[in-house]
Amino acid sequence: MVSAAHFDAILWFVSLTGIAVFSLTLLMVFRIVWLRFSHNSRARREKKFLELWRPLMMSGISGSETGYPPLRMDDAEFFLDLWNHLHESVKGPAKSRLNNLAVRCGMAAHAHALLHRSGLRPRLMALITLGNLRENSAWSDILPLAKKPDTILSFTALGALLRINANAALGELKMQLVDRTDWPTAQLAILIQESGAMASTFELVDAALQLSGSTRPEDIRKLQRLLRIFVVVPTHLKLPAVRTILSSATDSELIAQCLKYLCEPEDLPCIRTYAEHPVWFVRLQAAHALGRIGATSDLPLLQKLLRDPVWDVRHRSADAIVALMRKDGKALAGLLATLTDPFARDMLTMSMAESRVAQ
Amino acid sequence: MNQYADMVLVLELFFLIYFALLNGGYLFLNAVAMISLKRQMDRQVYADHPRIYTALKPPVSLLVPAYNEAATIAASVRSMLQLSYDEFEVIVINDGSLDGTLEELQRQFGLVPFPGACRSGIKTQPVRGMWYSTVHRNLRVIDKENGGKADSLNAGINASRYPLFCAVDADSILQRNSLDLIVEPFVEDDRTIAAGGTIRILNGCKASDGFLVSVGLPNKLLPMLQIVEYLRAFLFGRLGWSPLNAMLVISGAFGLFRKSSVIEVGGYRTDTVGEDMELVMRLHRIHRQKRIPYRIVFVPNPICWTEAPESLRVLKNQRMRWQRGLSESLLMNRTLLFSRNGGWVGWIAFPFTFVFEWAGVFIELAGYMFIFAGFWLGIVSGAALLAFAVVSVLLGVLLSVSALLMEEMSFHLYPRYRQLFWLLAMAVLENFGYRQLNLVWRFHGMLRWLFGTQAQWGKMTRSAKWNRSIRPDKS
Repeated sequence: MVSAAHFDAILWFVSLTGIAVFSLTLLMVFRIVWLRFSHNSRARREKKFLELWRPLMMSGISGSETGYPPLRMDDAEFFLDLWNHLHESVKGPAKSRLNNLAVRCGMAAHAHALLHRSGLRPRLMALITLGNLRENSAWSDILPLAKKPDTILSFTALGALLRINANAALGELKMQLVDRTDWPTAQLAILIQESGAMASTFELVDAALQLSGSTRPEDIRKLQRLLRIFVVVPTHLKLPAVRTILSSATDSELIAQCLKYLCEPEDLPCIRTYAEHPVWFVRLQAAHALGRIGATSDLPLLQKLLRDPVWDVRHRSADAIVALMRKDGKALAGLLATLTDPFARDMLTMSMAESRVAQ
Repeated sequence: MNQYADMVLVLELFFLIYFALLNGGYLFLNAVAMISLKRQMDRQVYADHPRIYTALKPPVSLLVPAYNEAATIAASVRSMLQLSYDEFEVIVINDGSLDGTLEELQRQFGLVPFPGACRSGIKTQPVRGMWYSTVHRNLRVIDKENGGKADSLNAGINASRYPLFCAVDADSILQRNSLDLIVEPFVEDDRTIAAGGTIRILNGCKASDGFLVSVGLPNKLLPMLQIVEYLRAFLFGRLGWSPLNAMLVISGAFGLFRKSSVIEVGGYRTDTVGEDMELVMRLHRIHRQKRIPYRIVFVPNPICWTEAPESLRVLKNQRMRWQRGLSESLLMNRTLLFSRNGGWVGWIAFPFTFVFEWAGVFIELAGYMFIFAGFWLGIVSGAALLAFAVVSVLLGVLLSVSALLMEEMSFHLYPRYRQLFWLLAMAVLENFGYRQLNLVWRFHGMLRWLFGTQAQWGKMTRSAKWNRSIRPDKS
């Protein structure tokens, strides 16, 4: 038999655990009820705030409002939330009028104060606000935040700096843009585009050219990353750089990325050489580029790609053929009739039908 | 006699340790999930602000496999067509339905035959035809021979055009911004190969023309119990494993994948009923084996609403299927277990799932039998039986209440105090019969798997009570 003392010990342990679990559960229930209560009361306050301030801000945007009621500090978060939303949905002078409104209501000073709080939430709110306000005086406070390891915080700080002074931000953080692989490339590109600093993107082009030709995997990864941001770099800046990078590139992904940017007939001889590349996504980009800038003399090459073993390459080649022969439906139908490869024929038939649907 | 006493002691200790590890593991996941959710909520300040980077978001193919879904297919497709996303296509794959699903689609969306050249990357049952909608240019329908859900998804992958595909159940309703939200991990991190969203119960809600109009609680006990169960599964199950890159399942009802990665690993397997879980485990296994950097993440805010079973029979079938799917997935990817480059997934999540989700069915049943038999034979005292029962129930309640707390911290989808009361009541009530019933069904599912039966589409009776005013789209 198991001893009574042994059972007592287990029973004691189990009972203690039970009491602890029960207490924790009760605490959680109280927390839920408290959260529900505070959420509902906050929602009521927010509703009241919006009823008063939304029309005021709208009048502020149109320039017809002259006076504003005093803003309770309890409502500052609602204010900043509404103000930032409106700020990102208006353009031109309306933005300046919104900025005047925020300054008059003391929100610039409040955002400065929020920047020094410890939580992530107030600091993000402060960065978005100061960025929208183009608050130059906050530059030195924001710059260290852009160098913090936390992705969201540093990236939001970068966004604020780009809005305050895009050219200075690009110059200051050029190496960061290359090295910070945790910063989302697509959003980074849009931030640059949005800040209107495209002319300063020569900094990025410079950085890319410095990495060009390197065979170190890390440099190639950085270059691939920069090339993705090139989508917002003006063509006259990026095209020469892309040609230089392509001339020394051996990495297939890098080649495919470069082919995406080639857009002038003088690039055709180079593009054609990649139509027979052993890696399928390079052939795919070559076919795509030929469809974009090619001539009818490229049709034989595209017909060859139409018989490619990879479906995606055949699809892109068919699209390219349709694009090149769009104006000559009869010739396209004639070409279709001459195709003997069933895969090529099916693909061209589909692309022709898709083109009809798209029109 | 002493031998028996020793055996009882060993068994007792075994069950106690199992119990402690199981609940300790769940509490750990809970803690990780809470931290992760808090961070997500803080970050919401940033995410909530309108950002204009849609042009750089990758286009997405929505794959909707449908087998006998005539009752709900039009509403689901309509909701998908109205998603707020820049560039996407909807591909419905009619898997040889017998209830007129294809005809319903033709009637609702003005379909016309279209010459299609499907990729043959993944082998599937023969495709009978491809259809285009004359009303919605981004809607296509593939009509194919019956081959199961996985086969349909593979056919959809073959026909899809875009680099990401989103697998969605035909009986589900997506929130308008779901795609926008679930795509974010792919925009933010190139290593992301799969992302899963939250599944919520549609029963008791109201939808019109494929969109959710109001969120409510069902007036039946079974779906209400499942609401708490789903909250637990998604808010701390998925959210707990995700930051560790160790999430083993993305619900088949709503998941976004990088097409090239899925084709690379061979697409969905057609010889399992748990194709969604199996694919995720395989993605982990192969990426880890080949040492390719990757991320599989859970995004809590995109929500997909789906109808839960309202009858015991249907629920039982669903749970048996899930357990069978789990067994198959674990077996097919067993080399992930303690593998050399296994990371959190191979060393913690996989063994955890194996021990507590798979073998746990046997252990828990044996535990129940041991404690009741012990009580019957006088080895276990009434007080001990009661104490274990109370602690077991209390821990169950604690885990469910913590899921409710996370819901309250984040989405707050059931705003009325009455709804809160009912959810708390369910968190308690589910411990008295529902969990035990689930355990028996899972055991049944394991037996079925062990003794082998054919894998097939889960038959689910849809009430579609939430669905109103379905009118054909005019061309």
